[in-house]
Amino acid sequence: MTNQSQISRREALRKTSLLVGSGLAASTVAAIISGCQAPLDPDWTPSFFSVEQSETLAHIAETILPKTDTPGALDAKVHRYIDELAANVYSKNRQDELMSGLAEFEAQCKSKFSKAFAKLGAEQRKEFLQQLHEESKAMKESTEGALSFFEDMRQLTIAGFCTSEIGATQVLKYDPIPGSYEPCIPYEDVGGVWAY
Amino acid sequence: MLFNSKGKQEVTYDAIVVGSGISGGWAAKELCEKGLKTLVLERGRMVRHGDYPTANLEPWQLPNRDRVSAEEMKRYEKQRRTGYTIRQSSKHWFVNDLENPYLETKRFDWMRGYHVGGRSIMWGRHSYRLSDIDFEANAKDGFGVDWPIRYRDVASWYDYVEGFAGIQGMNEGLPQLPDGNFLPPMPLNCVEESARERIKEKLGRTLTIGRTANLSQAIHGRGACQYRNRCIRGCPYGAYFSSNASTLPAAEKTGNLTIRPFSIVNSLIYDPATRKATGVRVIDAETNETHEFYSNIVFLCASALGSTFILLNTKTDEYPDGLGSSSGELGHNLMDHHFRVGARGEIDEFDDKYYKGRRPTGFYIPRFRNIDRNSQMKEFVRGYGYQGAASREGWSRSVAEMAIGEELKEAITRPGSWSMGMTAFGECLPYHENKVELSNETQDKWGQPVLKFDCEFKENEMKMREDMKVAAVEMLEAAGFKNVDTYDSIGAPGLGIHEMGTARMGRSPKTSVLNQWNQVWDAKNVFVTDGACMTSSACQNPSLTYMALTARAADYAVKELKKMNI
Repeated sequence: MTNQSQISRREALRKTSLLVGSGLAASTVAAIISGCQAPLDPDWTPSFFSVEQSETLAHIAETILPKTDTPGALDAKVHRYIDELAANVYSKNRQDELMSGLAEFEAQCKSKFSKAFAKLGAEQRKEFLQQLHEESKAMKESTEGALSFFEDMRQLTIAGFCTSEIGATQVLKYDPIPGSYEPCIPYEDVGGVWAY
Repeated sequence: MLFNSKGKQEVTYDAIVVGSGISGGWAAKELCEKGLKTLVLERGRMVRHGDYPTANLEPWQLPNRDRVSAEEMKRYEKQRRTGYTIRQSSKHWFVNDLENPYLETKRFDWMRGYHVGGRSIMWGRHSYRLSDIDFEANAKDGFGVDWPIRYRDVASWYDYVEGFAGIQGMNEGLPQLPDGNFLPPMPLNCVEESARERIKEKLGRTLTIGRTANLSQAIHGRGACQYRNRCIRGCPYGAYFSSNASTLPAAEKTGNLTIRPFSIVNSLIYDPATRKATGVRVIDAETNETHEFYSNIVFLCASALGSTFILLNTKTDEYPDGLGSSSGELGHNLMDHHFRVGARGEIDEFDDKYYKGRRPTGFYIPRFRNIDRNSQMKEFVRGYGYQGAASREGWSRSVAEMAIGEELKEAITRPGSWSMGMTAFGECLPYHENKVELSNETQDKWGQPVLKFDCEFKENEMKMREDMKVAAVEMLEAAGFKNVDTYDSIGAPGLGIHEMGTARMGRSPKTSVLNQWNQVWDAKNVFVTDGACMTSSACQNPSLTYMALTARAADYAVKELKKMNI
């Protein structure tokens, strides 16, 4: 298992080095140099998404589960989880669906706000996702494009957050070795939901 | 296949046990403790107690949060059919389907674990006795042949194996589900307890804690359950019964045990002069070399279909269709339980209550159909029981109504409503035409023929399922549940992972493969004590019965050896 993650990291580095000099990487580098935004997760390189796309995913996740008095999706690095699944687990079809969903999501965001999602303020981000959520709830049948992409992100964010170390141990109730089974106790004695 | 044997000097033992799962582990322990030098042949790798690489890993420590890549899944095309076993945390207990193919005239989901301990590592652990209602069923309604034994023949063996394995449960005094030699029961939670009272009062049926091989207290040097519910990964505390934690260490302690991993038993060596097996032919799974091993007795405990394969592949002049085939029943009467039908509902009376710990069992509702005159059903014979549990939904519930942001975050940190679900497990009749046979249309990695399955559930099972659904709703409603939903998704045979019947016990060599002591009629020093021996399937989880029959057969075999009868 260690080998596997080492290989995927190596693979990731290889992919990144191939991208150097391409328009995409150059523009990302330029954006950073021009001081627009500091990278959200500087110590890590995505395997499946571009750095730019991954930052968008991180903003989406953080808007879905924000930092409050407890850590949020960005603290739990939910975007890494999404990248890991997309790179290692998903079928080609599923990968394509995710990519085209993200593209449509960005297109819709630009037509509404004339800006990429990552460039919006926190309130606008929330407003946009809220709107997608309302639309997606209204549609009983299966959805596609930006709506389905949003629902996807919502489920992935919840799962990624709740199975992360930070989410499980700091936001949910975590008890790796209970030692006993108490079948019927007052809810207040737990005061939250078990992580698993 | 040619075997270049080095001759008799190679290795000779008092007994050979083929397989190291639940049945093989018991055979090894009993034979070793009775003083026999015993060779256990296991086709897969060695797994010592404690060799459970994922047992202590948290979700975030597992690659892809426990999910297996689409690419890797190709190796588990059939094993993945359960939907819950091929994960990073448990995939290493399941076979590579590319190396171990089989053919399906009709779909059969054959779940296998090739390693020391076999499926005793990832079994469901539910442990129930059969009763005389089960042992008499074939004789009474005429499906299949009569079991050659009755409850009185195995009762003391059930006592014995329960005492060593450690089964927690509650005695209920029911004729259809005999009481046992139990450790203190794990408790029902408050919703289950309330359902138990209401179902008993309104319908006269019993809801009890699922009797499982989980230690509610430490015994025999094995630790008590820590309520992590990660049994399928292997238990570092030895707190559930597995060969690795229980029977094999006991066998090893005698000094009489030899385990040889990577040893695929291809066939038995049969001597027509003595009408006995003299040993086994083995293919080394790593080197592909062939070996012969010799012994006075052979216990086939390679799983129902594994043992059947070996018998079918032991072709002799006298038995061209395999040793044990003279009755025409070898490979036939394949059974599995049919399940994946039931109901679930919600209840709002206990929202101020919760629990702590992850109990590795649920509840069990023993059979209540066709057990006496008052419970006779016109539509079907035999019966079924339910397994289920009540719990509060966690973060994984659909939180569709919650928007996003702080509101959603708040919602995922609170438990959802209580719900209770139950799934029925029903008896499958022994049909001669449900069968496996050998085929050379394809071969395994070692050039052996493969099994070809032709098995289906039939009318009695289908009629029973209607009732399984209706009765589940009836009980949930009687217990005060709302929004009760049913489901019915039969899937293919095999998915119950209770393969049985392909070398059945019986009273006559004309209609059965084994006698009342699990001896092959055609070769009396060969015993088959795994699921293959089952004359009917009953509806209870069968492993405890394999344990009892194995211990009983081992006791008989050693006595017969001493009398020089075999």
